[in-house]
Amino acid sequence: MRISDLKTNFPTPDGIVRAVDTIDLSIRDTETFGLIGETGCGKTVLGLTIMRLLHPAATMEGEIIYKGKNLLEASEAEMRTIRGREIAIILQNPTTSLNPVMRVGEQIAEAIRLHQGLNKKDAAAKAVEMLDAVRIPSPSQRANEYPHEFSGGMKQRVMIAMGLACNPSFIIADEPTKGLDVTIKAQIVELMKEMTERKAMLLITHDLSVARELCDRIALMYAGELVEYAPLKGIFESPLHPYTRGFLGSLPERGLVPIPGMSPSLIDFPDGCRFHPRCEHATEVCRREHPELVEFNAGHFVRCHHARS
Amino acid sequence: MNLINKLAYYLVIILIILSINFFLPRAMPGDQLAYLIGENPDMPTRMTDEEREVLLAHYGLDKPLSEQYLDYLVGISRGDLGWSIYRSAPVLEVILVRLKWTMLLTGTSTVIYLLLGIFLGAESAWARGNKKDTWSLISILTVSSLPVFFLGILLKIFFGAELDIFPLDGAKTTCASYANPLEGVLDILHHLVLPAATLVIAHIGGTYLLMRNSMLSVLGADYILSARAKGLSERYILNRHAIKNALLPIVTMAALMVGFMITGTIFVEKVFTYPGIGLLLYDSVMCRDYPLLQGLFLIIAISVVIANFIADMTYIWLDPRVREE
Repeated sequence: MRISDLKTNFPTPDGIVRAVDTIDLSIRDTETFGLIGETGCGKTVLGLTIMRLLHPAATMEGEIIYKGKNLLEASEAEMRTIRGREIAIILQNPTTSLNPVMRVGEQIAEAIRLHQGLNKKDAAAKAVEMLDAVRIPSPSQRANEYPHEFSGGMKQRVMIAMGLACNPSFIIADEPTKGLDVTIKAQIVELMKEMTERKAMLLITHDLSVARELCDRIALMYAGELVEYAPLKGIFESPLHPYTRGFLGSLPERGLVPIPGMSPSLIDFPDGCRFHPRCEHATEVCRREHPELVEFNAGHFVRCHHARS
Repeated sequence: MNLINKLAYYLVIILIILSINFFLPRAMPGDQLAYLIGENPDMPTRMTDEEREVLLAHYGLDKPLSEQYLDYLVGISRGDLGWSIYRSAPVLEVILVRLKWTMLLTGTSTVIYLLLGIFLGAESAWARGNKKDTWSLISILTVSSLPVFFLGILLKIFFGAELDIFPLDGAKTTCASYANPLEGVLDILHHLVLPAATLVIAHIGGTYLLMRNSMLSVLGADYILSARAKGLSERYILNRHAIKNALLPIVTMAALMVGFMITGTIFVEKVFTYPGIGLLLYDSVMCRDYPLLQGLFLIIAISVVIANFIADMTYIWLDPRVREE
């Protein structure tokens, strides 16, 4: 998948929200690509833009090329054959993302019937298989239960089973470990690792420890744009952007040091570098000029006037 | 277990209603026998003390309150709701004759306005902001805001008198003899159209608006996004994911509406001289037939309780989360 020059805007009464601003990146066939950033930086919007699941008022520019096709130009009918079958999204908040009045098995089976043309009985059996694959105990019984009868971790497993039911080749996972306690989180990470081994995955998270377990490459997103992206090692061992360093510094094992200040609103960006009001290294040029994303080392891109190794 | 608890709970409610129905008239100021001799001060009707005692004993009003209460409960358990003074017949009998007409009228119109309101509300929410949504919103709310009696009179004048396609009043043609039962049914349906249409138009606004709002909030829910992410078609999502969730508040409203429906039928039955319990209620107020009024209140209160019970059961059927509790 190649994303180039992607912009997603939402018109609002207060002005245009530029949630995704000129993003370029490509994700290879079997890699897991981590997209990391604070809440409200636009990472979920990027995932929904790929799926074309945004509010009709949102405008999108640029290209998302998947298997030779520009998804931004695909018709709604074409998108329906891609969603769930080619590209699947595992949405955040399993508690609200599962229909409370529909049996869990049926929520998985309906996509199987649609995309794989199985009859009711076979699709239901396949749904049970999926629940078994995500290690839900007594899956045939659990398939007939409703979401409120599942714990948080179990619901997350259901979401994964739902996303992977039709064997998609590209997966977008939005905060799959949000709100889970540490032991459950480790289990879900393990499960994700195993289930997505030969697939491309865009992992959206603000949890660096999860990204470190799963990702091949990582991008950091700040105020709608990418500020740094590199292979996993590059980010953890030689971070270039002050925001990346700040993010790493906020990990528990590195002392839980918070980044001062708040991320800017996506309507009104600061002039120059969008991170400069929170950056301790900011100089005159940072306040004046918006830095470009440049390749600092091979495969290691950064958007900073003062990038140094 | 759940069901038994619910039934016990409703039994207690009915007992409380029975008690209120017993004590309320007795708590009212004034003489129990006043309605027999009239209250008009210009009519110097007098009763001797002996006559009073005979009458009080006849109605059991000379006994202590606790004994009267017991008699009342025993009477009700036997289906004895008292004696209608004005009609000189058992209250239960008078009510039962009328009840079937009201059940036909409110039953038909409730089913129609609920189904139509749910359908139009869902369609409107689905086409939110479009011309179709705006026009349904404006037109439905406008006609539904008219008072029931006014709406009834308008329909009666236009479709009954001007166009002469529907009968003006009654529930069936008086003294008619039918060639076959089907003809009788058609005659009853013919008489039903205008009063039922009045109730439907008057009540559809609430259902429509609630369904539209409820549907709008459901359409913004995460599980709808989730369904769209599976590649399901919009129509499928509307039918399989959205409607059932959006119906939950409608069930509560429908149960509450049953009480208001009875008040609504008073006007409609009066306008169309439809022989149901609404008209009976109106008439018994007019001729101060207290035992009959008391019986009517009881029947109305119990039908509201039954409606709530049905709503509870529907809720359990619709929402698996309620089944657990």
